[in-house]
Amino acid sequence: MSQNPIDYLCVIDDDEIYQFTLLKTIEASKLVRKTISFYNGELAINFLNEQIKNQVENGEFPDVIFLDLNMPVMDGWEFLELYVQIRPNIGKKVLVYVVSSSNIEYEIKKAKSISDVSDYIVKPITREHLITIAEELAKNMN
Amino acid sequence: MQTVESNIQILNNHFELIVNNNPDIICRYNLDKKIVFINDTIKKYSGKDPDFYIGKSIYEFGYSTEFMLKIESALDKCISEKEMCTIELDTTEGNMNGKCFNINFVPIIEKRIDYQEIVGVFSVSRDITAEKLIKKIEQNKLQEQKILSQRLIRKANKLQNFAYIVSHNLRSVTSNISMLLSIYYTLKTFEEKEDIVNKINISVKRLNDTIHDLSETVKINQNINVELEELYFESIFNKVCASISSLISSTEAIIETDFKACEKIIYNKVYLESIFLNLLTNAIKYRNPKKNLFIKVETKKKLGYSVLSFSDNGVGINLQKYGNKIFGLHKTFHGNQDARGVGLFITKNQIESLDGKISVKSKVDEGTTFIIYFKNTNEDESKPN
Repeated sequence: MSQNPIDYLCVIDDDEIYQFTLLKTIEASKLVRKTISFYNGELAINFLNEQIKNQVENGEFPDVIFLDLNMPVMDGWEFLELYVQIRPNIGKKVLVYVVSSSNIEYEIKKAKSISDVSDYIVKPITREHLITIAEELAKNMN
Repeated sequence: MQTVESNIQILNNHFELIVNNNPDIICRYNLDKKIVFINDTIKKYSGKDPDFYIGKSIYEFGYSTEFMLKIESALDKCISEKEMCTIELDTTEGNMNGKCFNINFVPIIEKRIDYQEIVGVFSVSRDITAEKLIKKIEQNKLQEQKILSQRLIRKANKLQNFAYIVSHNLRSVTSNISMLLSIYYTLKTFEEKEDIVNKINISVKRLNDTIHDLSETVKINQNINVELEELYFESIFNKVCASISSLISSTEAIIETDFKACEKIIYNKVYLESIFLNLLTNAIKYRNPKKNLFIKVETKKKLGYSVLSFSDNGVGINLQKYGNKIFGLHKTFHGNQDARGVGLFITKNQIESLDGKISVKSKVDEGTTFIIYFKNTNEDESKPN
């Protein structure tokens, strides 16, 4: 276990500038050991499937996923559909946060109704968000 | 004896009074379909006395064949089936032009000892012109209300869509800009700051584009000053092709058109050009690199609409996955770098603002067909081409 409260974070978002600002925020917070990012749901789900296959040799699997909704090729909703299917094969609890700039009530409700979604965060993600997530992770550890 | 006779006389008078003052036309036919009685009411409609009709058959009044056939077949049916037969008759005959009657043909049956004999037919014709008019007005009203409520629903959807776009597209850019600014103040070196300024510039440009797209959409939906004129599909299409001829020839696209079944419409020129341009560039952008691009454009007429179908043999799109999102603003699907997700959104808005529809059929790796329904104006309807 590393010293950082959030060990391994996965970001799925097609917005390059958003990714840049998020990585800067994460860096500055010193709360995250390792971050991996993808530009759409398909790239991310392929990676996660690969990780599940290699689980025995390489135990690394993200603890937290930040998922955008509106993306080309495979959007956040579709990613969630596939994620729910592969989740039983993941050996640990993963916190999935839907992170979107949309503050439309309907979307927030829809996202929160999915059991594997821990919460819905309206962009931008701040240091405070990261602290709350770290606390949530710690709760799960105990 | 005298009282009996006068009683019968009184009864007859009563009877005559009732029959002749009945607002319905009452008529009796013999089995040879000749009129033996008709009440005074006929005069109100045809202007001729009952005497004019007595002893004559329906063929002797100079009515149209269609009118006579309808009455005759009802008479025949009533006689052969010995049952009441009802028809509705719109007439264009003489003074009765524009009137509509509901006519009951009632068999007159006399009971014999062991059978029933039909001896003639009564007809009772009721003028239902006013009722029908009211019904029609009501139907029109209902239709109007339906159109109105459809329009309201569409407007409500548009507003929701708009709220979504504002919430999503504008907020994402502004949130990026505020994040970039807060990062900017933490940086020390010129190079690092320069990088952030560049990123802010990109974001501001994106913000400008989004606001521009949104204001375009608002303009379209306000539907103000949308001039309509007679447009030939072929000439507009050729003009659009010419404007991007180098792009078309660089892809060696083969374009086949057939506008014979519907050559022209009353429409807004700018919209039609923009629709063609968006469809063409879309087909070129999403062409299949393994195939020569083939585009087929056709028009036809269909129930109050001029229908344009626009097919390509491009990469196609999985509609089960993306559905009608393909008409959403800033929705892109193929991961193309230059896709902005504006064209089809504008196209859909332009079409719907003039009461049209757009739908899409597609198969991955086979191609895409867009079908556009342009609502015909009344002028289109009355001038078949």
